[in-house]
Amino acid sequence: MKKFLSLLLAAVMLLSVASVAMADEVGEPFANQVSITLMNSKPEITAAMQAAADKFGAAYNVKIEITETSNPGETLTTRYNSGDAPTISVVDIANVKDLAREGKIADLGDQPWAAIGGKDMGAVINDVLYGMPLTIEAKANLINKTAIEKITGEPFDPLKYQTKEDFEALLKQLREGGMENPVIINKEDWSIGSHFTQYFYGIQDGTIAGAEAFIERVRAGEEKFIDNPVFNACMDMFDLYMEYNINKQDPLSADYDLNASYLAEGEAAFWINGTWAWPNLAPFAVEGQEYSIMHMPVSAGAQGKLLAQATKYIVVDKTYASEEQQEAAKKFLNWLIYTADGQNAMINDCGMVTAFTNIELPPSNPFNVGLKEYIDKGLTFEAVTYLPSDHRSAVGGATMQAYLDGAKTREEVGAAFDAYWAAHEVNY
Amino acid sequence: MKQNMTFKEKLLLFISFAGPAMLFFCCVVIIPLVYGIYLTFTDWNGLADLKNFVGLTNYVTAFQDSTFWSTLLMTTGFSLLSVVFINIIAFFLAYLLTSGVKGQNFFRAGFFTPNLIGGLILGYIWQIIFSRVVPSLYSAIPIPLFQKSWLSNPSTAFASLVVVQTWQLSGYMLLIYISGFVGISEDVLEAANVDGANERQTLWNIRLPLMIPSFVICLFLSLTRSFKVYDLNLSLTAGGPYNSTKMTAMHIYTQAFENHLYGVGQAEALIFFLVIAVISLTQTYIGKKREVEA
Repeated sequence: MKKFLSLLLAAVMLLSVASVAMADEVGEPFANQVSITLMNSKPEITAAMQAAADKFGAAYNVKIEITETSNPGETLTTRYNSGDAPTISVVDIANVKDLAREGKIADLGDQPWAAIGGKDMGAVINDVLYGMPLTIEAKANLINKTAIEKITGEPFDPLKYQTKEDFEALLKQLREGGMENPVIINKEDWSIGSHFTQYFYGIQDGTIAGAEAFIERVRAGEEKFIDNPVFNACMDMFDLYMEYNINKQDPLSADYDLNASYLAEGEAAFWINGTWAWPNLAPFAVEGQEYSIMHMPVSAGAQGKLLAQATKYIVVDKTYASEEQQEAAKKFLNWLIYTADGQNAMINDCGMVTAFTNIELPPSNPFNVGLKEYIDKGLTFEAVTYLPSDHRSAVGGATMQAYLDGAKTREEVGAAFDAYWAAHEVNY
Repeated sequence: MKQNMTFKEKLLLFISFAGPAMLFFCCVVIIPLVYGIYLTFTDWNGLADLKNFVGLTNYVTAFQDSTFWSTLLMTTGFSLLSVVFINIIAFFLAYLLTSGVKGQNFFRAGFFTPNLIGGLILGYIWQIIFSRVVPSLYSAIPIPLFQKSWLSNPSTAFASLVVVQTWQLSGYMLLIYISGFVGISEDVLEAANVDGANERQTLWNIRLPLMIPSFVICLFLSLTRSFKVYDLNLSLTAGGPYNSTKMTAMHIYTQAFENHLYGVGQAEALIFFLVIAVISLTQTYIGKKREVEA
């Protein structure tokens, strides 16, 4: 009995030490309520983020008001100009660079989470950690496994398809099997104009240095896009997608929600998109259908690998936010990373794949499960932290949309990118 | 009113009535305009604390920005088409609705309603119509016009902008034309009638000349509003497909806020302002000269 009691006491002690350690990272609640604002550029998680903020707010006496935007760069510019900068911003890497260059955001290097994956995957500029990595995402082909297997009659293993030719054979087989157009291409400029174009650079040799070297050659006029084998391999792949596109009758009238339903219901098997799209697909998901992701089977560098990286970062303002507000903001980040409620909110409610090694919750949806498998096998490659923030608006979006619509040739696409880089300053 | 007020008294009187309005006008129009002009001479990117003086560089860039001029050309085309359609439709509807049709008050309210819906919401509603409803009509009416979404082709996307702009603004102009029709003195019309003028002659020789003030104001409003269009542009086509329907206001916004070229955007905005001012003032001047007294 004594032994049992002492064991029990030891267990209680351990637990309390653990919980103190956990609370330590977050700190004490504020005596007087602190009000802060959060600008979220990931609209699909706004509701979940608000619920998390409310929970945190109730425990630590902080009021967090969340606003949403799909154009973080524009919104930040207007809000900083009107003296209404958000205390916390969920933004893309290009925005972090813009803000850091102007000295608007706080150095987060002293935060405890920097050591557990925060700095490795975070937004680090000139060796200063400015952005907490909110999520790891993959730009991938979202797939309906069940729909594929129904036609091929064998279990689908994405890793079997390493080259464009392998993939083309599969598409042919699906078409012959009754799935007329197995591929879904979005019309959105961020999808084909921003995400897809990242392959042009990212798979030059699968490294950031390789991509930067390519850009430098283009800028110096030593190489043209149209002569670059990787660009051509990517465009070959895009041509293949276009040939089998379910929206090919009128590709620019594609509707994002309809696209989600095509994949969910198995009308098509591959949606050129990314792991963030689960909340869009979930409402249409069919019981018994299995969904996952696969890499782009392009015949070029980084073959068979998935383009995955931290894609959204959380930064804290230091120009308009008071010391107390900055502290509240940092507390909220620690709460997300170190408490059970915070982790649950991030992983299960927001559906994030975390960069933090202390979080052991498994990913919550089929796309993220697929991503985790690629990560665990070491089959990911990182891309683009070097594209200027106007890469999409100035060249990517319109050019690729015109190509998708047949209004531009491959040569014209290449020339547009050449011209863009020739005219732009580069800040890697 | 007392005629022998001192200057101080006059000033006080003026300030007590016009002061608040002047203050707000300065705060929201004059100061931003002056500050904006100042920004055109700097290299500000929209975020930086430092603003370096760069002289006329931004104006040079603006004049060399071929996209700016092509959007301006398109915006001019859009405005001209919209102005013509808006005013023809509004005028004839007003004519119809003052001629004693049954339920004319109901119709007046009905035609005005699109104006109460904001440009953004309107754009989203019509987006569904052009991209979903139109193609589904094709099965019933198989003509090429209905084969594809109107928003996925540059020409039809442009046409759809004109359609919605016309649909929204003609109801507003309708009210001004109605007040013009109603404002014409019955005596004049009766005199014309006695002199044996038929309906067409009355319209052409009596009503139209007496309604010049309505035309001036309607043309001015529809012209400036069409030139400045942004919300409809954003919500209906978002400048697409592939930037083919990007109007000047949207291009300026992109320059300033997305491309971080605030000075250039501001310089283009100023040029755009001058273009609109010249066009609308000329139009008002010509219109005013044609006004007649009954």
